[in-house]
Amino acid sequence: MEIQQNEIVVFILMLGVLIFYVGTYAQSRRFPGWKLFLISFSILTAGFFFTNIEGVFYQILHLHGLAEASNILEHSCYVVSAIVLALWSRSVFGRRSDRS
Amino acid sequence: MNTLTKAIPYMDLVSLAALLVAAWYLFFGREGIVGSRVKWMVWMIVLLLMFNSLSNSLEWLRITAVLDTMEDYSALFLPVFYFFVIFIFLQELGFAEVKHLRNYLTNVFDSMPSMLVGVDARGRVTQWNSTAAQKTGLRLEEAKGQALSEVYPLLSDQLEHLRYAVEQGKVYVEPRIPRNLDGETRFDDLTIYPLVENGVQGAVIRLDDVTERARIENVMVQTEKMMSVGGLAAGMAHEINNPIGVILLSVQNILRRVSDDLPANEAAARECGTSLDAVRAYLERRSILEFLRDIEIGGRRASEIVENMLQFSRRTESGMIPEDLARVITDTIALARSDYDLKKKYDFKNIQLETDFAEGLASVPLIRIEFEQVLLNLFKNSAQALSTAVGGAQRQPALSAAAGGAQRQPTLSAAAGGRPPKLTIRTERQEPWAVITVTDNGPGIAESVRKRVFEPFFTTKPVGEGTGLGLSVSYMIITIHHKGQLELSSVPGKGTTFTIRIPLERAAGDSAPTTEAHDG
Repeated sequence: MEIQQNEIVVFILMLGVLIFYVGTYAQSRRFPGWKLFLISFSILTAGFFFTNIEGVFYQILHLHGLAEASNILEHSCYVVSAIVLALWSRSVFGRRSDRS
Repeated sequence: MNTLTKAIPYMDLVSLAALLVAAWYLFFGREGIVGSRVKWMVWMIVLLLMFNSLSNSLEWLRITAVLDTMEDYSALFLPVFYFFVIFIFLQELGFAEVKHLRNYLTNVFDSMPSMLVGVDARGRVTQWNSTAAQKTGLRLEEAKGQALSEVYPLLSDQLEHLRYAVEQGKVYVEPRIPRNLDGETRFDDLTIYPLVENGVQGAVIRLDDVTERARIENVMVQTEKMMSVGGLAAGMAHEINNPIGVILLSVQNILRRVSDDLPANEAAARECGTSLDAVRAYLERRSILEFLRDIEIGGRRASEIVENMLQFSRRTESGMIPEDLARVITDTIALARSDYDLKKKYDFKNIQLETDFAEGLASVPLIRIEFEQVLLNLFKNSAQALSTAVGGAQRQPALSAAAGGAQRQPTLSAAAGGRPPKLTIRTERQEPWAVITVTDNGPGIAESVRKRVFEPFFTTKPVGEGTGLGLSVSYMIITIHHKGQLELSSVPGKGTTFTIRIPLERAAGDSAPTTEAHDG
């Protein structure tokens, strides 16, 4: 397993966007369903974090039999992020009857 | 661990399913909750994540070589789209706030009763509130960008002041600017506020209609003057009374001392070497006795006038006392006949006067001074209308009502049709009222004017010639002070009748009879 540069770049960019989100919190929180959207995004960023952890510490993790655990964490983050994003979509775009 | 690793493709499929749900809501969900641009960004995020999940699932199915490469690069766009979601949202939020603020300021601007006009340094309209639109008949869209002098010519004289205010950064104020509105002179206070902050060059012009305030101020000044003049007149009347008394007494003495009734006169004439008959013959031949009688008549008349003046200028502190209505009216007619102002414009003596006083009105409770004031106002009003009719076009269109009351319409055709000007004053007893009617055969009053004659300050006279208070004060005196009614009926071309009704008896606590007072 080797480190993929594009994954590092994506993670750094995601981190930058997260800082932007937090930095503009006073205005951004007026975004519809802001909390769910932020949670979804943060978990997605965590997924990219685990991807990079897996690449950087592969040898050590592999030695301790934890390489796959990191991979599972990454994909778990993607699943949770997607589910929260679906919930966000429902809360923002769902009709009243959908949410009752 | 291997068992868990085998679950990863299924986890990606769950992600894909969740993203499909999100896509479903995006596609079929409510519109307008976020802007369309934001929605497009969310679409891109969902599609990218779906693509990632799909490619991950296929990778674990070992058919993913091309998709794997695409996935590596496509993920780079994710943070970009996430960034733009909030960035665009914030931008739209800013626009919405600017729009809200603009609407709010426009509402504030429009809610002002003053006429507010924003102009740039060259005098072109940039803002225009609803009062301005109302006054000019031009909407903001029509006025915007136009020269101020074109959209509101009344302000064309103010362009120099506007330039001065902008250049100097000083507020310019000009009070009481007159303007003509449908033949009526109105007054505006003008204020120019320069806008020099943050590089904005221009000004806000504020125009306040202060006509009513100006009138009230004029009335106050006039009242103050009248009070001073009234006091002066009362003092003068007292002073004049003394020499008049001396004149009358002396004339009476002279007449007595040349009469043949007194033996002392005959004796004195004999002592002087003549006879009383010779003296009287001389005096009669030279009309000296006639002159003396004229002096006596004139003196009595002067004394009467002074007495009326004194009575009129007295303060109305006295309460209601029973008065002989016919006597009050007669006295007021005498006062009107001697009124210099009335004589100057339309001599009351030229009007044929007819009176018809009913019996049983010898003790009507009223405040004499105030009641006389009302009658005098009505007489003057009638005299003015009659002079208009008789004088025809040579006269001023219409003279004012009493102490500046409402003005009659300048209808010159009516009573001029050969009829002599006539004023009829009648009294009548109609339980529970004493009714006084003052009827003239003048040109009448047009309906539009008739509706407003009792309004305070209503006058169509030129500025400075009347306060427009005469009839409104009369109305107040009759309806409030006397608990009575004052009505007006008029037939254009035939004449006008003012009807006064005052209670025959004072009810307990001065309460009025149950019939409602006419509201004029």
